[in-house]
Amino acid sequence: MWMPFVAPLAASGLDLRDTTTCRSCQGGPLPPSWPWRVEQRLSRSVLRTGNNWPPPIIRIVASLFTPSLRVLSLREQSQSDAKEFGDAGPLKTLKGSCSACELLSDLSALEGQRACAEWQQPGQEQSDYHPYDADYCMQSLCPVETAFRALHGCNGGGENENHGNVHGSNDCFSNAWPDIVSSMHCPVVGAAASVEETSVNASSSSSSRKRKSENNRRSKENSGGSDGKDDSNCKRIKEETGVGAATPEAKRPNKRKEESADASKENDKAPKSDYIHVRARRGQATDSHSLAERVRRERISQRMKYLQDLVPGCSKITGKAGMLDEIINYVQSLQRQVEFLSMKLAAVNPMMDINIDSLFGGREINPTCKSASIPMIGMSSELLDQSYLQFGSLQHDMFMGSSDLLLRPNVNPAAAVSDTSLGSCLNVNGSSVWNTNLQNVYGVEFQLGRGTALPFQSLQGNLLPNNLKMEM
Amino acid sequence: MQVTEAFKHAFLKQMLLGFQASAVSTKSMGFQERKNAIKLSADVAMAVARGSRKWTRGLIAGLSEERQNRSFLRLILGEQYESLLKPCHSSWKIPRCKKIVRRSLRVCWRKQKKNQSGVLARTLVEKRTQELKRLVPGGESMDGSSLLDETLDYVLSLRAQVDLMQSLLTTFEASKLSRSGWRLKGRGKAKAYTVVAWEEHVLWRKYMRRR
Repeated sequence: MWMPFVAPLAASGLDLRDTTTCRSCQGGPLPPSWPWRVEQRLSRSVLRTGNNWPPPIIRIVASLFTPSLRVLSLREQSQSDAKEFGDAGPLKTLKGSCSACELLSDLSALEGQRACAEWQQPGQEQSDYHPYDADYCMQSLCPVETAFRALHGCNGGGENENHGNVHGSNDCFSNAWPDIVSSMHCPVVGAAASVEETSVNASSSSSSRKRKSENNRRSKENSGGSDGKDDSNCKRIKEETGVGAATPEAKRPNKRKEESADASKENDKAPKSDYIHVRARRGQATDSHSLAERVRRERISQRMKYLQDLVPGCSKITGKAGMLDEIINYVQSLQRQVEFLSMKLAAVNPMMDINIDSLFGGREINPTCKSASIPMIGMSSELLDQSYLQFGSLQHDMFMGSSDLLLRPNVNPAAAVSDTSLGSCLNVNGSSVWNTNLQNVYGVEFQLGRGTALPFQSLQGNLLPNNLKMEM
Repeated sequence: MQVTEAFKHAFLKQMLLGFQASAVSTKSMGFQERKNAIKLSADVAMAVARGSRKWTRGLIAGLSEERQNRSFLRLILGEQYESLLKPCHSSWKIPRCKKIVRRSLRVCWRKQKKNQSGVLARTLVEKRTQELKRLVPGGESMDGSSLLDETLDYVLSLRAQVDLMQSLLTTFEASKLSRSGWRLKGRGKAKAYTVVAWEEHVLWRKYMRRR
């Protein structure tokens, strides 16, 4: 029954049996380390919990682990870098260990079918295991979880489906321990579902981003489990079978799970907690200092990315110091540009003989009252519409008329008011289009003002050649 | 922050109001005076249009340090002026508990002992951060990430300011041209253009020499 399970593995070209030999597959001695260690851990956990699990259940549980881990390792290899699991000692040996192979044969056909179904749906696998590419530390999680996750994920199932499947599998187990196993399944499945969700979340957003809802969801899943006792059992098992390199990681999510399980009610009631939950990355220190620092660093790097998009010509530069240099240069040049433009405006103005009072109809300045001023500007453009209808575009009217209006003090305020006319005059779309409307009218003259669309460096350079051009 | 229509509207409106308030159109002002007045009104317009941010407050506080600007600011801002000026920006310091600071320093020091390689990079970054703090108004009292935030905002607003001033400039210049070129035809218009261009060129040269 398990041959179809094994065959695809061989067909995919991956040799899982390089480290060990499997009794059922090839016929050789098993590594003493792994199953024994797991069994020891399990027994330890059993003793700790005080549950008198019958010895056979330990093997069953171990067998539950095996296919998942094998599946896990295969997927890892097939996916991307195996370094996530590279330094997982026990996992390596797991690849070949098929002591579970004989045990697997004892298990229900359901699991085998599920596994086969998985292999037939590679597409789904890919999507399911995408989270493994993330920095998300999956190793700390219970392998059973991952197995269930994989299996149920393939079915595209939500939690209900999972539960349904699990309960269906109970038939396969003998009556001696259906309750325990089923109850063990439930929280595991619940956790698996939550893990799935959270891992999907991790794939969508960076793992170290602060997430408050994650905890809430997980706490809900955990509280949805049947037995608190079994819950803690499951957690302990997770702890024990977690890979050594990731034990601190294992402890953190477990700790958080326990906290969240304890405070689940509070979490549900008050989802907007003050705490910011951060997931520790694999292989990194987990004390609060370094976490906070890492969060701060990521924030800063995110801001630097925005600035990189903003400042022209910064896409090639990496590193904080260079980027800051560019930003400083840009800000300085923009400030200089403002000064230069103000100088030019000052030069233009008196020759202009601007009579802005007329533009505003002699109204008092009331900056807080926005509606007062905008109508004035709108009014002027409206008037110009009436007086200069011969010209085509509205923008041209406003523009032409403004100069005349400025000279002629008599202004009859129009009844209707629209500041959209002003808006259309000055800006059609985007930030670089202050002048497009005027561009139609004054082509040559517009060379001077077209610096808006050009990068800042060339603005001042552009003016000079334009001037020279016109002098000729 | 996105440069929205509303922002540009408010900006332009404030700028024109500022021009009127400072009476730049009268011929009595000298060139430098007029230039300063225009720049002042442009900056204030930018700050007002943006709303309440750290850099806008810092900017207005910095502008109000000079006495000649204060009347103008009071006129433009009205009652907001006093409220903006209450906390003096230079004395803004992030309140830090000494114990925590000491502890964090100890942790950093312990880390530095292990990691000597990044010292040079860190000093460079720190130097540049200091310089950026000087550039961005109100930047001294900000920490790293908020400084970058404010820089982002400030850069966007500066860009909008430059665009606006350029469009105003072209409007004025073109209208002047049209006025002068109203009666001229053909070559006359070209002459008018060249006159303006030449004046600009002179200004440009003056500006560059000063730089």
